[in-house]
Formats: sequence, C-alpha cells, structure tokens
Amino acid sequence: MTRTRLQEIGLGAMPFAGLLAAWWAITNLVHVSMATLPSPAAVWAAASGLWSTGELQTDILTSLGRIALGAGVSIVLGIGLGLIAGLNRPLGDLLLPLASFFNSVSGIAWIPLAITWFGLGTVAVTFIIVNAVFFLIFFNTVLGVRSVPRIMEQAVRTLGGGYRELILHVFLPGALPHIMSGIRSGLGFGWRALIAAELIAATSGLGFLIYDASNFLRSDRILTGILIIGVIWMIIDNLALKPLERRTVERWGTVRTL
Amino acid sequence: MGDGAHALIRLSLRLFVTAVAVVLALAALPLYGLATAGSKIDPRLERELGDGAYAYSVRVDLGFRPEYYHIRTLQSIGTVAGVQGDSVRLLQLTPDQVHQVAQLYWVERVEPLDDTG
Amino acid sequence: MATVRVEAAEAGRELGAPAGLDRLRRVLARAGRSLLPFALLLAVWWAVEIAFRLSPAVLPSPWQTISATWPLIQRGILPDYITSSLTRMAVAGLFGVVAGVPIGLLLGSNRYVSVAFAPFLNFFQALSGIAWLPLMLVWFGFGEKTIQAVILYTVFFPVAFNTMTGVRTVPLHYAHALRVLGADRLRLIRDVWIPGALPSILLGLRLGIAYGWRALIAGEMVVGAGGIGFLLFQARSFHQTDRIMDGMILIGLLWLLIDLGFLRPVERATVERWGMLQR
Repeated sequence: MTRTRLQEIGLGAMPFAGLLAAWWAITNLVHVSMATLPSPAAVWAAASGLWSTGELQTDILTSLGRIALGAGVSIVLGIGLGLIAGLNRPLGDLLLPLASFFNSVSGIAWIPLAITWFGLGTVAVTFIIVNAVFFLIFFNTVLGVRSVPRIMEQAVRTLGGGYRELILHVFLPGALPHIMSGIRSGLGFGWRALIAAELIAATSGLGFLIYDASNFLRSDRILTGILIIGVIWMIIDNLALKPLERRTVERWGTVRTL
Repeated sequence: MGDGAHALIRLSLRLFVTAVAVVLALAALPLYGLATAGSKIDPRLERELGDGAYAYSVRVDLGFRPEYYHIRTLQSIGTVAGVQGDSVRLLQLTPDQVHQVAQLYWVERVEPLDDTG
Repeated sequence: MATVRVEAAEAGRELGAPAGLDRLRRVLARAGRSLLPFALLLAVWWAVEIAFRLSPAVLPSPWQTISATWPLIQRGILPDYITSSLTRMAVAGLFGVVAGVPIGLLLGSNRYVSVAFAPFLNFFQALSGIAWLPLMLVWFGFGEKTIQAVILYTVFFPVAFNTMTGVRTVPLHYAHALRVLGADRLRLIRDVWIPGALPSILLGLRLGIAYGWRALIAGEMVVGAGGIGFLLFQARSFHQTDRIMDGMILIGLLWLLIDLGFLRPVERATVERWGMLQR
C-alpha cells in the first residue's frame, strides 16, 4: 500500500472519528435521553444483543437475499430487453417512452400496489426492488448497444457472423461499460427501495428492524440498524460494484458512461 | 459577466413562470372556495354569528359521504361530534372558524345545529 | 461554399409541398408515435383485465382508474395533497441545495480537506434518508418536520459530495492563471470553480432531487400527514385500487413536471452558457 493511499485512508477516517467523538461527548457530557440519542456504548450493547439472539444475522441475510434476487431479475430483464430495444429500432421506439414513464413512477410508489397484489413479505419487496433497478439497466443497455460503432457490426457480418456472434462478440462487450454503470446506479436506487419497502411492506429484514424499533422508541436498535445499512452498502458498492465498473471500462470501454 | 447574465435571466424567468403556473393551477379551486364562502352559510346562522357568543355548533353538508381527509380537516378547525349521511356535526367554533369551514371549496353548506340535531 | 448550400436548400423547399402543411404533418406524426406505446399499453391493460376477469380491487380497468381522479379533485383531496407534496419537496429541496453547494465548494477548495471528507460524504449519501425515517419519527413524531428533515438530508449529501468532487476536477492551472492576473477568492469561485464544477454540481442536483423525491413519497406513506404518498397508502387500506393506480400515474406525471419543468431547463441553460455537458 503506497504512502499516498495510506494518507488517503487516514484522512478519510478523520471526519468519522470526529463524528464519533462528538457523539460520545454529547451523550456523556450532556443529559440526553436514551430515546433521543443513545450513547455509542448503548448502541454497541444493542448490536451485540441482536447479534447474540441471531436476530441481526437473520435480518441482514433476509435483506441481502432480497436485493440479490431483485438485482438478478433486473439484470436479466434489463439486459435482455435492452438488447432487443437497442437492436430493433421500431421495438425500441415502442418500449423506451413506456420505460421512461414507468421510471418516473418511482419504485417506491409501487409499494401500496405491491402489497395489494402480493401481501406483505419478500415477493412484494423484491417486486419493488425490480421496479427501482430494472429501468436504469434497461436504459443503459440500450444506450450501450446503440453506441457500438457500426463498423464493428459490419465487420463481424462480413466474416459470416450471425445474430449470436453479433450479440456475444460485438454488442454485449461493446455495451458492457454502459451496462455496468447502469447496474451500479440501478442498485443504488434498489438498495434505497429495499429499505423503504421493508419499512412498509415487510415483517423481516433491516428496514423492518428499524421501523419496528421506532415503535418502541428503541433508538439504540434504530442506530444499530442504520449503521449496518450504511456499512453494507459501502461494502457492496466499494468492494464489488465500483471495481467491477472500473475494470469493465478499462477492458472494454473508451465510451464515456452515463 | 455580460453574456452569462442573459442565460441566467432567461433561465430564472423560465423557472419562475413554470412555478407560477403550478401555483395557480393548485390554488384555483381553493380560491374559488374563498370566493363562494359567503353563499354557503345559512342565513339563520349568519345572523346568529353576530351574537358575540363563542362556541357555535354547525352541521356541515358535503354532498358526499365524508372521508378520512374531510374528518381530519374539519377536526383541525373545530371538534367533530359525529357523521350523519353526507353531513358532519362540528362543535366549538368561533365565528372566524365558521367562515373558515365555509371557505373550504368542497363544503356545500354550513347550517346551524339545532340542539335536537 | 455557404451561398451554394443555401441556394440548394431553398430550391429544394420550393419543389416540395407547402412548408406549413408539411410541418403540421410531421408534428402530428411525431405526436402519434409518442402516444402509440401508451395506447398499446392501455389496450393490453384493458385486455388483461377482461381476459382474467380480475376484480376491481386487484386490477381496475383503465377507465375506472382515470375516473377516480374527478371525485378526488371535487372532494378537495387531490389539490391539498399535491400542494403538500410539492411544497415539502420545494422547501426542503431548496434548503438542501442551498446548503449543499456552498459547503461542497468550501470543502473542495482544499485538497486535503476534500480527500478527508470524500468517504464521509459518500457514506451519508449512500445511507439514504429513508433509513433515517424511524429515528426522525422518534425525534419529531408523525408530522411535517419529519418529512422535511428526511428530504433535506437526502438532497444535501449528493449535492455537497458532487459539488466537492466537481471542484477537485478543475485543473489547477486555471485557478493559477487567474490568480496571477490578480483575482481574489470570490472571483476564483465565480469564474473558475463554479463553471468547472458545474457538470458535477448538476449531476449532484439531479441525484439529490431524484433521491429526495423518492424519500418524500416513502416519508409520506409512513408519517401519514397528507401528501400524495399518503393518498396511495390510505387507498390501500380501503382497497381502493383504482385510487392507488391513479395516484401512481399522478406521481409519474409530477416527476415529469419536476424533471422537464425544472431540472432539464437548468441543465440546458448550462450547456448554452458554458458549453458541452459531459454526462
């Protein structure tokens, strides 16, 4: 690890350390009720408690399962439909305005309808996640496919390539930087939609954990949940999505992404 | 600085016009309610309002079965005592509050509440 | 060269159909093409509803959905709720932007400070305001303040973060060049940093408002203090699915209003004034 990288990490930790210090100071020096602002120690105790009963693990796994499922469905649908809409102009002209409008009906607005159709639970939550993630992947796939220079397609065709070769060797790789970018931003919306959906439409998961805790004024549990929600997304984004996006651009992209 | 100002002014104007259009569209019906408020109050009630008493009880006719929204809105003005068909009984209103109720454009009429009612 | 081209164009126009009619035909064709997908959607919707004989509580017909609008307006619900939602979005969003841009500029003006705050701002941007809703409920209860606090938070961080990183991307020699010519800090902010950071600032604005809008809807569903999100939530309790779908369409239209009426003009004006916007 280079010295500048170490410097970066050190500097980056400072605001967090400052926040933690301020938090500790406020709760230990000023009289603040447990409901308003529990001390760091109280939050740690709540976290350990939830961990020891297994509740925390269950909730984390439930939420991760739902986002994975939602992401998987969205990626398959998004790339699939995106390829079709990108390659076939008339179909694209049909699908794109519809997709734009449905995208405006932000995923979260689907929550009451999802509850009506699927009741509370994983199906509803996953449905809502797909509604939040799918569109960005779809749009970016279309953009990526359409931005592949025609000459590549023509080259493969003159060499006798059929549709399968074209898709596998020209369009998918060509569109990959855009697709990866779409997956990353889409999942950003998806993670938010997951929490919102679990707040309202579920009886398990991290979103439900913090909402349930608020009904009992258990701010220590709320903060535990909030921190874990933030940390998990940081891990997913920084350790998986961002490097993946960067490597895809390095490998396949001179095209600027959305 | 000169040429930048033109674009900025044009942009601000454009945003302002859009905002004004939205505000007008949303304010149209409430303003209509304000304008027609006087005609909704029953003349008997109108005369009583000059009394100087504090707490008036009224029957608010809506022309449709009241929903949660209407109960809650009326509750924020007075005290809702009950719902009968298309009407809501509202108590403890000052004369100003009676007018406030009449100004709601979805209210049809404001009648005095007889003690037998 | 230029004169030849102009003459050719004019000649072509004379040979063709009258310009006015031609243009009208083109506008109508384009309008038809944009509406065709939605017409098809309505047709499919209607067909599904008939084919599967679904009850109106599960899938109302297009007509039932649209006709739910008039009673909502007539009974005072819709104008009030839309006003609440838009007001919350406007006020809290404005505060978020007004706080986010200067703070972003400030943090971005120093290399070490910006490196220090990048992970911090990124973390709180990722931690959506919706996750803070339960804590805000404990602090502020089920009221207006809760919703606005959540929106303010949600808008602030993307704006601040993107503004800060935008300032960092401005090549140093621009600032140096102006400083050599005697510019003070204010001049630098106005003529170097803001224009240079503008694409990022606008990206932050768009992200912030998009996230904030979703936080608004979610917040209204949970807090229950009126608003279009609450309309949807309540309609579900009473199995008024036609109202739910009507409300969803309205939410889509309201977002289009925000996007096309406010965000796009700002972005387009920037291209006009400062050149190509790289997205």
